[in-house]
Amino acid sequence: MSGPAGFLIFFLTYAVVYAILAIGLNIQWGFTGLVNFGVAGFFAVGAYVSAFMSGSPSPYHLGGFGIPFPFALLIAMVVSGLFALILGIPVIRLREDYLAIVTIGFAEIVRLIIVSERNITKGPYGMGVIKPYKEVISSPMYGLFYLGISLAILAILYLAIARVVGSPWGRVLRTIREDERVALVLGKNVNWFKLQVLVLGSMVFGLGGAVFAHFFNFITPNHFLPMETFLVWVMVMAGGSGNNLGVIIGAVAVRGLWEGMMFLSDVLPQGVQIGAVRLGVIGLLLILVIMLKPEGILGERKTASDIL
Amino acid sequence: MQLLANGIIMGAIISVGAVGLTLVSRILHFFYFGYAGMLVFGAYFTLTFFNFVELPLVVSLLLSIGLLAALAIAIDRLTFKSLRSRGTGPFGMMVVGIGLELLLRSSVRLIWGSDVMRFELPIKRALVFPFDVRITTNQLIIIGASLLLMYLLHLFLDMTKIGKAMRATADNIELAKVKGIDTEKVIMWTWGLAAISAGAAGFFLALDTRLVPIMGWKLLLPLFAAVILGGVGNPYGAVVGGMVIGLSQEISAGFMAPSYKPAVAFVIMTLTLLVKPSGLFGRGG
Repeated sequence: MSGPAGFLIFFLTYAVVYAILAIGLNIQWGFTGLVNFGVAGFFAVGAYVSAFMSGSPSPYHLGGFGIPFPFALLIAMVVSGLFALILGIPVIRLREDYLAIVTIGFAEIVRLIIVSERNITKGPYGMGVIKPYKEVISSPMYGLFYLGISLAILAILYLAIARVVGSPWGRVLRTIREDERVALVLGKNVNWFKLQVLVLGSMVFGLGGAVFAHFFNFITPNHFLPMETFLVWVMVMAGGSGNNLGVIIGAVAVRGLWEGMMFLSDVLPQGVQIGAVRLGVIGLLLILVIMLKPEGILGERKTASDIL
Repeated sequence: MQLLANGIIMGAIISVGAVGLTLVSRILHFFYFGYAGMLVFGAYFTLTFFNFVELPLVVSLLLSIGLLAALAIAIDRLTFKSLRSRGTGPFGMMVVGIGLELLLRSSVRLIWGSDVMRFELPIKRALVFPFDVRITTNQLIIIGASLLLMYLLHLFLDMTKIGKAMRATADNIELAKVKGIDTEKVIMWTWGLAAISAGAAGFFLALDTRLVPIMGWKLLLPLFAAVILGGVGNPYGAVVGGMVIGLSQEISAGFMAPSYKPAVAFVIMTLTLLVKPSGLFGRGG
């Protein structure tokens, strides 16, 4: 499919990828108040691991191991979670602003490794990623088919996370967010809960990375710049931290804005780079959210009765 | 030996930049990512005065620092001042700072373009020192100028009334307020000092390499590493921290791929946070 319908499918699939990332960050920041500025790093780990797992063997990069798509996704999630565990065990007890710098540094190191270790990742040249089930689905319909797969993954994730945050475990997370001392007084091991949340959220980032890799079919280190992290933060903070529906709307809206700015190139004077404009607009959004509407557009739904 | 020399040059650049960042971090109570934008603006301002207005280099740098201070104070008035009065925490401040970093970097790209730029200086052959160490005259200027600058900063912080007020505020904000120090005034002076530090570091970095809009962001991680290693709010610690980070980054290039230099800064920073969060010269935990 090409033309406007093709573009719409492309746009929606891209938005679904970011909705997955936004839900991951919502688990960490929205529900638990855990700061993670390393989203792009886990996103990259998920993308590359799934690419290594699913592809056919190649002398130019690690793998591929020809593993079926669903298992490649699972392995991508597990490896992402392992990275989060290794990073989290020492640093989870740090104050939130230190944690922000450490996680942003972590994501940059992941990208450095991808750029430098050319024998594993093909470095800056980027590596191809297979289209799953392409032998079953005819090529004109493939985009729509993959959009369907991504939407199904998002739906499963949404329902699963709704269950998780509604459980007693989820209530502990919100207690930690509101006041860590209360959680401590109630005898909860706050750092242990935070570590679990770091791992769980990062597994979701890994899932997002895998879905992205098989959608884009080509990944380079430049897909995982720190900008991606800030995009996801804008989505979560503008959409309403602690509200999964809100952050999905946030993801679609911010992606829409991002793609929409492409049409600016007809209006802007010659030589003005869209990339630079995009950078500035996202920066402005971050500033405005904090200055004008720190609770986001939708905010969090009160869990107690509406009458109370 | 060449690596050692490179390390001292890089260390000087990081040290100069870290002094301003450490004071901002402590006195404003958050880690300011927009500092990277200040660094880049400083370099491009200086370049504009030098290459296009054709002013002498020193005059260009001083004008650039003046502009940078005005810009920093204007930004503070527009954003952080109202956030301070509303009691926004360090996290909200940091997010606004990240937003500013993106906005500043975007402005640099829109004003000057994304292409690599250089100072139009005559190219001189590097001087050869014993042990076949090669150092360019620019690099000697960087080392000399940063030593002079750090000495002047030391005099300012040690001798002047406002310098003492700044150190007192960095040491204990509540106590400074109780003692009748006008913290808003101290904050204005902090931005001024940050402009000197960021403007000079940006210029030195540009002189040693070249100008690209991303140069500030790339130096930010080593800068934070130097600040944390030296103890947040301690300008002398920041100088030592900067030297340690610069040296370890360059010396690591002797046995690791040079692209991993930022990773060295990251590891040192994380270890400091885990072992002694108050930095090398901090008192207790």
